[in-house]
Amino acid sequence: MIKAEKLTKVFRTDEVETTALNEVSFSIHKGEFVAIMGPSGCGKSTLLNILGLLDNPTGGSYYFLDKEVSKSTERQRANLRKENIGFVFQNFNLIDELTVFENVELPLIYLGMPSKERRKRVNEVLEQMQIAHRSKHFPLQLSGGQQQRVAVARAVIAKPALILADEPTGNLDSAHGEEVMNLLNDLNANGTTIIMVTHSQRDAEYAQRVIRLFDGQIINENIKKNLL
Amino acid sequence: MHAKKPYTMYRNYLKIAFRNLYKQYSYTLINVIGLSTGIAAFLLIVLYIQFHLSFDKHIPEIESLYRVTQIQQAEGVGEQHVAFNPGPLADEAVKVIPEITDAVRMMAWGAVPVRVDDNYHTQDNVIWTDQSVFRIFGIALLAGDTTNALTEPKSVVISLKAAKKYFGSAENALNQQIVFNYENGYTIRAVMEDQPENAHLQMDMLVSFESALTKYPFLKDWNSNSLGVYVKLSPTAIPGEAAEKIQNLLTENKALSSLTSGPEIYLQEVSDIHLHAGHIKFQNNYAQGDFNLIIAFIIIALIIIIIACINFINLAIARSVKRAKEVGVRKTLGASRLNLVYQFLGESIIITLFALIGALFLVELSLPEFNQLLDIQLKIQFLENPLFSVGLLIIWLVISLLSGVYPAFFISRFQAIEALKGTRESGSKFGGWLSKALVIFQFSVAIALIFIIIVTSRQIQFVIHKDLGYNYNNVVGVKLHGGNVAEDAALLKQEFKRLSGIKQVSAASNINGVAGSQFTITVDDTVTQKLMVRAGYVDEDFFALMDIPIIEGRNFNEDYSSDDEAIILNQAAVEALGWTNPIGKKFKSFDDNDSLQKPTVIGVISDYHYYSIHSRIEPAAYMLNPDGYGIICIKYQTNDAKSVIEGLENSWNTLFPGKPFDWISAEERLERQYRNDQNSIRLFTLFTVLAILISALGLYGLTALRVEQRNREISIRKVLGGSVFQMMNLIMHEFLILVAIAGALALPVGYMFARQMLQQFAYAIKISVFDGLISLFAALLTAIITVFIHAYRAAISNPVNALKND
Repeated sequence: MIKAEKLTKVFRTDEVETTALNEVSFSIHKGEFVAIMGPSGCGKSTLLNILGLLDNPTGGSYYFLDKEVSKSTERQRANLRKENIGFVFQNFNLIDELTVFENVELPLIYLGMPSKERRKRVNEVLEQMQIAHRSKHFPLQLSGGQQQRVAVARAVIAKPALILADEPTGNLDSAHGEEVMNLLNDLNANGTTIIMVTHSQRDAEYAQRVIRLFDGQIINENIKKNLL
Repeated sequence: MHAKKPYTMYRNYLKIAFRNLYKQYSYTLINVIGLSTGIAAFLLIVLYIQFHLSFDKHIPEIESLYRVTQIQQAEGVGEQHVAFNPGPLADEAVKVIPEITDAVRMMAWGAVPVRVDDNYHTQDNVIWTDQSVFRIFGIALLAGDTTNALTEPKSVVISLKAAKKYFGSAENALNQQIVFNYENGYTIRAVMEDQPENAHLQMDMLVSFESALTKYPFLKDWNSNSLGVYVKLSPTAIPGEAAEKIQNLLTENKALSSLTSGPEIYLQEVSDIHLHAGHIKFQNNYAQGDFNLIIAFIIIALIIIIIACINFINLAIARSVKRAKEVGVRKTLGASRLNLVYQFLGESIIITLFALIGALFLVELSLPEFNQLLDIQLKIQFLENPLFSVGLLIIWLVISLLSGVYPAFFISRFQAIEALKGTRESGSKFGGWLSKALVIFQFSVAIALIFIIIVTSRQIQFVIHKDLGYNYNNVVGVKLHGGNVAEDAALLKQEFKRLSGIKQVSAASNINGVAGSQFTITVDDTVTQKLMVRAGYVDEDFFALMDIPIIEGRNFNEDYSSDDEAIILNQAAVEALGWTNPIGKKFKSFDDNDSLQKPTVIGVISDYHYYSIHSRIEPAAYMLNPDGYGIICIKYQTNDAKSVIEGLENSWNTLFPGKPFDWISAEERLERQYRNDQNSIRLFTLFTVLAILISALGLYGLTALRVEQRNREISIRKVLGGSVFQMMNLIMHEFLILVAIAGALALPVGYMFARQMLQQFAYAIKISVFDGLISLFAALLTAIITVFIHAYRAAISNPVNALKND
């Protein structure tokens, strides 16, 4: 599903050049649950942004769903993103001015889904995430755990092939964190590919494979579970 | 992928737009108030301009209607434009010039005494004219003889307004007999529709021209020059050619032979008269407009709107940091840049709609005062004025786009990653060059406007208080009406002198000593010299009453019969003639008519401004001519003007029972001359203050946002030992520098415009350094007051609050 070949990302300012990723190569198959770990500044988020088509690499190739996308335009990336990738962020990134329902509905609006169909799908997902009873509330009226469940709902609403999670439990206590990880695990069990960036060894235990980064390079890959 | 449904997207945009606006209600309010005020001022000016541009547009086929105008070379005066013509011209022009299909002549009078039954009235807007006036000006007759209303002598047509005033209705007015200017036997043949307010000629009573010819036979003479003449040209006619033919006609008939040469004829489009006839010295014009004023108002209107839009843009950009996360999320979820541009434009459209509604409300509230100030009747009409309604829609769209496009494109440019992480760089901060440039522009405009207003106000005050060369304090005038004015004047003088509180009494053609007309006088000498002068008919008491010194020779003496042929000149006349010893000089004739007097110069008076100080003093010649008196001037020496007027009225009613008592105050008359100037100043001051307030409002909002952005920095500085004063200085200094730069840019521009404005005055002040300093000081003070509140609050806040949230 995903193939990265010698992916490089260099950040340049007038005086400083920083190599965030240095010829990183790996593959991720459909249905895998992969954790990317490493210390702060090792390039995890940079890698996630490239995998999520939020950014282009400076060098190397990135194949997403068998298409080379490393030189795609913003419009092409946006189209691919909305149809195939769901995001879960550490700080939830819900839109405060929209209700829970409206936040979850947003990706379907950008996909042009008719209103009746949208409503049905959103209600289904909210039920699935056990947050339907708060559908008319605004994010600031929810707890951290509830907000992250909404974020997960939003991430899966368009039935994406891939979910990218950037420290999904970073702002949650352990109980809520576990809830969210169980959600992700269930999604993966149903066939969704998940790539998760995390500091937490406990969260990494949910993954089948752990890729360790250090100073922009992969230093270790650990296969945790048998996929077959 | 599903087919896109824009409706759903727009509904989503609307929802979030309303919620955002409500969430940040203080900025929404600042935006709406600023835009409302700007749009309201703009709409008021648009209504005003629309009114002035609409003058005479009700006249059918106006594009082929022209007023015959002369360029005269007036001896001692120079070139002057005159919209009066000889009596026979209109009829002859239609007969012999094929380009001219129709014509009408008009002699306009001011207040005329009219008696209906036993009641005397003073009727304004009286015109002697022909039947063709109805065709040419498209005036509908509401009742009576529509085809021959003005063909018979002593026929009168009155307006509906006049008909209601005198008779209650149009039907009641028909065939009624009235006494017109003390003459019996005038019959009302028809009633016409009222002229709209936006007409350069107001007509409330038309009298058949045949009657004028009987009473004033000189009007048949090609050398008379008292009539407004309007001609209608055929569709294929070239105005310049028609004008040339008129000129030839005048030459063939030896018209206006008293002029040294010419006159040169041109045809002025009637649609141009209201705004483009300020240069014409003699004309019938009800309410002369000023095209330069219209241009100035258009500029002010645009400036105010632009300032309001700048506020919007600046606030939107400054607030963009708060929207960054939302932009990042939407982009992550698949929104394109265009989606985001539409979203933010949508917010701009909503705010502008609120502002437009607020503006209409403000306009309704302020129209009564505005109308009173300008002496007009503007109103908002949506259906009756479709142009205005369409204009509103256009304003809505244009302002939405103007204000919203840049912020929309700016905000939608945010990169998703940076936005989500909250690492947006400057550009969203106030430090961006565009925001600073916009603030500088706003305050430059404000400072330039203040500068111009200060100079203009000083000029108007100078004009009003300048020594006019005569003393009009405590002077009133009682008008004489028709009949035997010489006799009436003598009686009144005698009677008024007996009243208590009266210091001096005099008779004259007008309260300023001169009649409205000009004459050509020819020097009776070996060298022929002609001079065009204002004629003044005054008695022996006039100059003393008005404290006008006689600087050479002597005053009139009614005991000397030879003084019937005496003439007193003003200094301007003597200078124009180039005389060093004017006393005893004789004139050959008046208007080349040898049967009239051969006046001799007996004295020279000091120049005085008989008209407004806008124009230079022209040559004037005064004579004793009791038949030419039009007013009795009274100087009183008490503070109780009311009693004086009552006493005068009582005397009048005793002598002339039933005749209307018309009086004017010399001071009020002068004030009326400058009322237009004063009104313009008031209006410009109002709009300048609005422009400054809107700029200040924007600055207020920006300061609040800037303080928010620098909250953390201020807290750290305070923790490190910064004082309250230093923190306030930190914030205020940023903005005051911009205002200072604005001043440096604005003052030269303001100076240039002020200087140009002063050029229209014959007597003008000098612009001073203090004018500029006061303007700059006013702007700085406004900025300081505006910025102070936020700066103070930020300076005294607890630094822990900001740092704890970090």
